[in-house]
Amino acid sequence: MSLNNMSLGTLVGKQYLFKWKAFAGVFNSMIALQLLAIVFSAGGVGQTGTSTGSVSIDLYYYSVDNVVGFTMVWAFFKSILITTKSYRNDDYLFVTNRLSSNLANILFVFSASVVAGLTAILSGYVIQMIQYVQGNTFLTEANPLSLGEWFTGAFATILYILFIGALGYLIGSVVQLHRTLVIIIPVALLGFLFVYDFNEPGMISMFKFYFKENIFWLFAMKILGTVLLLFAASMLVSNRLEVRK
Amino acid sequence: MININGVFAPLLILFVLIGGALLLIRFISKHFPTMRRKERWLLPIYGAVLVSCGIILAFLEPFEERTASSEEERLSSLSLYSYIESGNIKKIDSEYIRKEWDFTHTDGDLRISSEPSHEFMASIFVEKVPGLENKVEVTYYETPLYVDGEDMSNYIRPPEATLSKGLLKLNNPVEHQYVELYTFREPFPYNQFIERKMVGNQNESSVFHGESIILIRVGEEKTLDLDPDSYIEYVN
Amino acid sequence: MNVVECEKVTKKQGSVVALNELNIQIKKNTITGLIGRNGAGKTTLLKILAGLWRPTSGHVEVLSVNPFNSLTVSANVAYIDDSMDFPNTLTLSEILQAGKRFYGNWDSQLAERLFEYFSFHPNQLHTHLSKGKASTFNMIFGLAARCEITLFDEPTNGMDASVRKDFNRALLKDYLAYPRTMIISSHHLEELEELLEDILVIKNGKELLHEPIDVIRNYAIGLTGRSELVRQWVTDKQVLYTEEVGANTCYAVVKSEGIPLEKAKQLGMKVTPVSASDVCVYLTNRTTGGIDDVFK
Repeated sequence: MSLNNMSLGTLVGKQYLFKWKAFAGVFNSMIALQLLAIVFSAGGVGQTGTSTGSVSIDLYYYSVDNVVGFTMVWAFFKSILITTKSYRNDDYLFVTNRLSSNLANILFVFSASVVAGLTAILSGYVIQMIQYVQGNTFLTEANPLSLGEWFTGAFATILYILFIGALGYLIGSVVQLHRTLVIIIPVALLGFLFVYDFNEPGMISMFKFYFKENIFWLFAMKILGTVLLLFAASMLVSNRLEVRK
Repeated sequence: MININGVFAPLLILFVLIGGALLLIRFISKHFPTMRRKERWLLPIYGAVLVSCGIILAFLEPFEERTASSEEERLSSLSLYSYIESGNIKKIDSEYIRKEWDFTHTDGDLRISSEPSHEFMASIFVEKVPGLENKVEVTYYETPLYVDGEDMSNYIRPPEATLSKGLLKLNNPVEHQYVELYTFREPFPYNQFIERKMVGNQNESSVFHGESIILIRVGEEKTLDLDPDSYIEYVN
Repeated sequence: MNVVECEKVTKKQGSVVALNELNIQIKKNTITGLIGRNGAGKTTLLKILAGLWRPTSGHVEVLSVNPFNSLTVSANVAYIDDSMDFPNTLTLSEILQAGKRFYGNWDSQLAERLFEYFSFHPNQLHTHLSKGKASTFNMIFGLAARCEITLFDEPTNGMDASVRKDFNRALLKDYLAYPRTMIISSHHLEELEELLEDILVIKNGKELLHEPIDVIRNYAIGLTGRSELVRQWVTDKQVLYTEEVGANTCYAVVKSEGIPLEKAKQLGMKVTPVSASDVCVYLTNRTTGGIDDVFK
């Protein structure tokens, strides 16, 4: 019988396609969260107005900020989820090694971020549709976004979600190393959040480095670079992992 | 504000959306057996709903565009009171006239009052003009009220004026006007890279009050009886 | 040609030594029965061979490469056990389709026929299967993958007798049509005996015996006779097992090598053959004697 030879590239491609089926459930939770965020945004996310004598004027703001926020939380937990035993073992029922499994997972996280980012942005139309059906006086932007600006913003949203997803993937991979880390890591993270002074100059400069970057391509390079580092660390960490325990 | 478009268009859209989705599912189920599992439909359906909402909105264009006002425009808006004080009423640009009424009153006496007296939405001034004879001219001037850069004048109904039985009565259109407007802000990742400011994203000095004045011009020879509860002033 | 080579392979899990300097070689295109008691290290060995686990020390070669993290090994070794968690998002028929995509030698026809024979429903989910049904499905998966090396870890768990029989037939027929290397672990040998060519017995993480099945069949003989006689006669021989079977009667199992059978018969002892499966049971017992000793 001839040996079954498969190049890494072909295998990763097959695993990636397989993941779209095997992990299909993660998108259902994303949809549920986004719908929840839309419901939370139903009363508007902000309001300004004035009252002069007999006239009261209120201007309510709507946006998909909530949806994007919820989606980022989802991205974090989804990435942790796919590093857990039952999801990781899916690969090892078929042909794989740790490298190809990680690469396919990373590709999946990338594309899931694209799906999540686009749906989060597009959910703005649902919010506007609700306004229309309710018959409210809805004002649209006087200087609507150009196509380029729209894509820039959408891409930035996707990058934010990807960033959080990559962070989750690393944390998930580290946790898989040993049973006790399931407790140690969350406790350490929470403790860090409580104890750490976020006004410390290091944190501020880091914040500025990512979130105050106004030039899109620089921002994209920074985020993508960080994401690649996070994924590389995840691969390094999980390359010796024993599976199907 | 019920019109046929407002009721039927959303229903029609809903109908088309659901019908279209069902037809699409039937078609694809027939040709792609792996899509028979129902939970796989959730994401495509969700995506389709989002996109079709976008397309429908793009076609209907049901929303008014915001009127962008610049910072200078708001700061340069003129003070009606100063024109009145200096007696240069005629020089007020006619673009600030929201509404005008012309009445004829032959009687020598004219009573003027506003309702409600304390909460009337404009300041009332009376000017006696020679040669106007029996004409009573009422003019409502208004400079824009900006909320978050948006000129709200169009959403505020002007006062009403009636003259009968020797009484010129000024009324708020309704006892209390509630204007509710809704607008959409781009999500935060957009703001990081878009240089120009969106009208909706100016937080500083978001409310800019305008002035509203009603000027009543009557013939010089008329005797006026002004309601003491209403704040009515003579121009000269 | 050996497709599996293990040299001084040790695997520690915490303080437990699952494999203890194990040495084995397995020839290409053989069916080997991996026999041992619970905890003898069967699963550990198979998982190391499949490249899923790392040995603590020692040298492992499968298809001439180190199996851990090897794509060649993963693509050509199927490891089938009863804890295969196929994703819930895939139906049984979709799992088989996925198998076809991953395994170059996948035999769709065989998969479909077995699938139908054992009356599976294409839209069923793997988690909804009973234990026996799941084992049957996993077996179909393992056979259809048609890998150079197929490792079955307790494949018949939960199957009923008739399915086990069918399983054996299917396995044998497919093996004859497409010879390859198979290792089947089990703690009871009887039902597998007809399949196996070689038997590898391990005990406490060490290999005890690795011989062709015929050798095992003639490995030992049973002697029955008066207790004093039997006990006295076997003292200088390799005794695997002794048991008092009645009043003053004793049954002893001794290694058949160098036993003068005629003489034993002349002395009035009854000589009986010992089945391969009994040999394995006696070999893997912790001490001579058995459960009876506990109650003495």
